[in-house]
Amino acid sequence: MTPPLNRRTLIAGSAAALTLTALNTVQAQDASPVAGQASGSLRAAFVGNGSTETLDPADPSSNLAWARILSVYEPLATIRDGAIAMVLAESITPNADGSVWSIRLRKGVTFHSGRPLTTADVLATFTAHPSPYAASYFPVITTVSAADSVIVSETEIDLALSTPMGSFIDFLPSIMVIPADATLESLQTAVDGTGPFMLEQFEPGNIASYRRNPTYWGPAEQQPLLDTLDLVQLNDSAARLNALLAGQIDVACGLGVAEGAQLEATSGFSLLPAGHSTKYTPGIVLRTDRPPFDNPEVRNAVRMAIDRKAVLDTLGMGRGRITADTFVVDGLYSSPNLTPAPYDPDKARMIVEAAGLKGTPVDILTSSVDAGLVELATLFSESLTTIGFDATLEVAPAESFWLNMGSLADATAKSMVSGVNSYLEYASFSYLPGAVFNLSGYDNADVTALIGEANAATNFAERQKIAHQVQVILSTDGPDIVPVALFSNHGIRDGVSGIQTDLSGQFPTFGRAWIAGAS
Amino acid sequence: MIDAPASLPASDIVSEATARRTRGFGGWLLRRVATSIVVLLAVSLLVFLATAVLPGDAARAQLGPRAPEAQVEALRESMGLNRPLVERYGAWLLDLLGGDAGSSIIAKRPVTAMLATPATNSLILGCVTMVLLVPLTLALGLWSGLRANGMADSIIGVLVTICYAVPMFIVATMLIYVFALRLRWLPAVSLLPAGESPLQAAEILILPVVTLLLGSSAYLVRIVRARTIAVLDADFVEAARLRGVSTSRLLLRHMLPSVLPPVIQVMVLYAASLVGGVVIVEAVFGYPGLGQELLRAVGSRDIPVVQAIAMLAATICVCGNLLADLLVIALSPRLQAEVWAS
Repeated sequence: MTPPLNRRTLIAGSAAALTLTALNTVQAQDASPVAGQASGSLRAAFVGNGSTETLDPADPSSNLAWARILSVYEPLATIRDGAIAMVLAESITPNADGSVWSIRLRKGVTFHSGRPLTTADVLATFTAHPSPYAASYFPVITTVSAADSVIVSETEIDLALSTPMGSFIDFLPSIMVIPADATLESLQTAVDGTGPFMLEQFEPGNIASYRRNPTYWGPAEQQPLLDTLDLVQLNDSAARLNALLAGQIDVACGLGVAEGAQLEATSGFSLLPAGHSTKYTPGIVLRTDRPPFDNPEVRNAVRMAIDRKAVLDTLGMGRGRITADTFVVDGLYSSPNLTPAPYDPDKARMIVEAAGLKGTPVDILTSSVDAGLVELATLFSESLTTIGFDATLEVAPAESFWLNMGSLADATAKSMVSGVNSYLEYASFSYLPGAVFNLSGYDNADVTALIGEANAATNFAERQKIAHQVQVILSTDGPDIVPVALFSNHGIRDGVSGIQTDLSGQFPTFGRAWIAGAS
Repeated sequence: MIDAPASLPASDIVSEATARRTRGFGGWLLRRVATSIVVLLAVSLLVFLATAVLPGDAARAQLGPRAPEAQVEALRESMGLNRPLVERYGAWLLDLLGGDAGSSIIAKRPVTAMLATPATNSLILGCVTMVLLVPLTLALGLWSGLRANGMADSIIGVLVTICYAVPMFIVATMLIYVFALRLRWLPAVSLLPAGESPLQAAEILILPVVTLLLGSSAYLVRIVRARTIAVLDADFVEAARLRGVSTSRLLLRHMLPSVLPPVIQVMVLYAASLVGGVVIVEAVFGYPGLGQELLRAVGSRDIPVVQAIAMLAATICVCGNLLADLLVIALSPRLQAEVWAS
């Protein structure tokens, strides 16, 4: 069952498999202070959607929203080192055909309100989520049957699915557990999560302030360290850089290419090092259901027109690697055997001319909403022009790029990023006809069948095998042009340590961050 | 034989004159307010039509071009887009008059609640700028005019021309570089703690206000200067000089009342153009105001928000014009006489 395409679903196209960050982590520095010791106050700036934002954990329509969600909410399970890892759940086990999933909750977990986490909260999260966006962002919840699910005890529940789904567990990292008594209003204006920070104040379009959760359930090595955390909205990359340099913020997330280079040349500041920073895959999605990209040969010509090395040098300053046109790099079910198309603009030009498409106009929609998108779109536009297309670039405001689903879906080519860490989840949302994030109009019967088979398979190895097949097909036939995977330019000032990455690798989290000298 | 009417006592003559003046002023004010209302109604119609005739419709924009028509139709119906334009305009206007600007299509929350804080923040930015802009431009313009073609005039002329020629974005960037990043005297961006007004954190206002002042004052200084030079050549100024009136008295009592009226009118019109500057300045400084909301709303076709911001801007302009007229009348005896006689 597919929820309707709407503006809320878009960002999830780039972040649908997002999960708890505090657990899938790389320490930028070590020797962190002891939990409970004064570890300072940290202020980080992100791109946000202004006054439209709420605290609804099912409405993550911006990077800022994700950062807020990841600070206070947690899922049942996450993905760590390419495998599922438990968070609020102690175990998650399917029956033989994947139609019933038995979940045993971790004991001793409490919400910020002090109420213990129970299976009633889990059932409500899946079957009575008050957010109108829950089904759009997390369509898998619509497969859970409230009537057939059984609460065994306060810590054990059997979730029954209306359709058997062997990959159900792969979708859980995106879904944050909320209290059973949550209402839409309480979700939008207050927070009662189980995460490492507790909300103090929230002003949409401006700032959200948090303090450390003193009763966080995690073991000592997962306890939050910061005393307070401020997440602020600064949509302009230069403004984020200036705020960091002026000492107004400690972390400037997602700096642009130019700002990142400037920061690296400034003493007292640095970018989170490659490998320690969050990763992201900027790309272009082509519409495959209308000319000129309805022809797979022409799509491949476009792949050959991209100088991936130049893209890596320009966008990533060497912080990343060349990829074979997949948004999910090094994630769950990612194939290690994909080969990028060779750079051969002459051959590409011949293909375009042979197809009679020379001079065909192509509109490319992009935005500075994420670092490198405009730069990549510009390089892409030049590549298209080189092989004979008449490419035009439209740069949409960062404040509205993810909100305007109509324009995004309509553009012949559009910028996209992905924070998805499960290939199967991304494929389910992006390549099936009518799927919520299918902004390309892609429709391939073989791919559709394979994705269906993979989702039904209860065996991980089987799912992985099929997912690899899908990736091989899509690396030549698919709608995505993803030349590189990069590490984000998150600028920090000296003394800031312990910033970690979430499962998707796209979002920095602050559960283990601390400020040197604060104690 | 007809008896001549008995002369009225002096006190009655005064009170009758006062009453006539009051009636004259009241009538003028009533006409002026009525005109303002008509202007606002016309603006509201334009705003509504402009947002209603945008390509496509809000429902389609929300659901995307590939959404099933039935789904789009259902949303269109729930948003009231199927009703006749006149009916929609009437309902929207009535709601607006009742203080209800509708709900954001994106946030699905009341627009008035959504925009209250950013609108207040932007108004504070605009008002502080205007409060400083008026005396600054008057002082510089008068000084420049009184010393026309002198050294001070030349320096002011060069400076204001530079400010006028350099885009506001560049001015802001330079100010940030010097005062925030180099000298570290002021914040580079306008981070505002939750629940606080910019007036409680006045340091965040300084650079945005200075940017707006530099970008806006050049034209006004030139207007004041030109008016000052013209007034200096007037006979009454020459006569006052011959009577030995001191420079300060000449300036305050004789020249300012003549310089101010046209300048105030220009200032008010110019203040309206500040809106554009505010959008740029808010973006550069990350100031949590209406500018960023407007960018987002236009980009995402959040029509109720666009309409509300447009009407707010129009209302401020119209009220500003009315206020300017009142000020001009207060400063100009000739206009007072005309108003009272009307």
